[in-house]
Amino acid sequence: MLNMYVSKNKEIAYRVIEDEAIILTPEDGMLHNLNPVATVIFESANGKRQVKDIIGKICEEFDIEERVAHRDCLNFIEDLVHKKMLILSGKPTKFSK
Amino acid sequence: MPQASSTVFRAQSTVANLTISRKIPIYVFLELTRLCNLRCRHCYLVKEKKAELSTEEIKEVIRQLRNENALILNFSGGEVFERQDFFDISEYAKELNFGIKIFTNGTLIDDLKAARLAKLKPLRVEISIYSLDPEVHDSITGVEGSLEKSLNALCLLRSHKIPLRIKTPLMKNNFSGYRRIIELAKRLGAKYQFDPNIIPKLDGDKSVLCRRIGKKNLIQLLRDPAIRANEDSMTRGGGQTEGLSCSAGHNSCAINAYGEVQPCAILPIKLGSLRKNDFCNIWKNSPELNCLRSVRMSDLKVCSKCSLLACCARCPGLAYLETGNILGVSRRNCFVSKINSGLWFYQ
Repeated sequence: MLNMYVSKNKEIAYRVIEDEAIILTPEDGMLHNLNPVATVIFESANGKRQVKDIIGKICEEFDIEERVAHRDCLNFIEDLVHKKMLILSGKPTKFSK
Repeated sequence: MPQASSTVFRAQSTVANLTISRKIPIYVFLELTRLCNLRCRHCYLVKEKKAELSTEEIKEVIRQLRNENALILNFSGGEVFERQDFFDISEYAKELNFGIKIFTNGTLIDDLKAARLAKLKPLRVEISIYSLDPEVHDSITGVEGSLEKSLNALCLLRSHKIPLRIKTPLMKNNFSGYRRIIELAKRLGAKYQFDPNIIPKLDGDKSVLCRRIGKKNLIQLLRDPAIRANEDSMTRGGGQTEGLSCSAGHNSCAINAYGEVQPCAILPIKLGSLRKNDFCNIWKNSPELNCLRSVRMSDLKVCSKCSLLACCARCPGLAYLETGNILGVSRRNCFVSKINSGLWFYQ
């Protein structure tokens, strides 16, 4: 999974307000609010970054231990993939927001 | 630092609190036109002698809404497909990453439009159906053959897998057929919603209120398991949040076809014209809006002390249209609350 490229689902409407994302999931019309760290992960998913790049970015920006960032980022990205907010791909994708 | 996903995602109520506290107009009701090909007897809209917004003006409004972090646009009318530029406008909104809902009577939707709507991927298309009996439906819309066209639109949209909701204002003359509408919605995989609160016209004309259903019908509706089991099946009030009487003007607003900003489609307090001012300035600085935002439940002299408050879906728009005062008491809300609370069964 670390080498997979992460992109946002292009059907997702969202806004980043200050440092928190509000995401609208089209299937249920529900709004979700991400905390600032989760928002950085979500925003970093531009189709050109791999999972490992995003983990590195989180370690750099939030000064946290790589082991912890690794575990929590993977859990979170898996969760967003499950919720169809993010998409994993073996290759970089063109779409980015 | 990152936390377990369950805590990273915050509850829906947190979204409401966040957008209200930061005054983000997350939901915007955008009336595209007051033109309509139907003549519904209960319609609350009043045509005014003003020019409606042009395509470019609406796009500019949408750009301004995007800058203020609006996220969900409800396109409504009149009848939105009376505008030849509907797709131009809605596709532009989609480009700007809005979630879109469309309110329509469906009568102007053909297969080409349905296919184009499918590409737009709206959150939902909502179509008004008053009865499955053509005589009843068409007598309400004032146009013969309108039921057939609206039902055809539902089928076309369903074939394109577009999420649907059937909306039905319930009145004396269509109440008896509401269960058939539920059955239709279930067959189509659509949501359904009934509104027992016909509202006065925006100019204060209350003559339409004689169409409202009475106590017996309302009790039947509220006791119906198909309604009770589905929270979404009846329209509620404005949504009381953190002591506010409604979220209108806090994280939502309406823009009418003439470019005037209002707290809500049925709260016709003009906050400013987008032809004279930009949205940001109106949203942040309108004295009327700031006054509305300062209202708390405790300011409602009668309602705040009412024993039925917990089961009341009080709507400031309805109170305003009935009494001319947003702090006033809507007799209709009181009536529904009394029935809802079960008091009628003991009196």
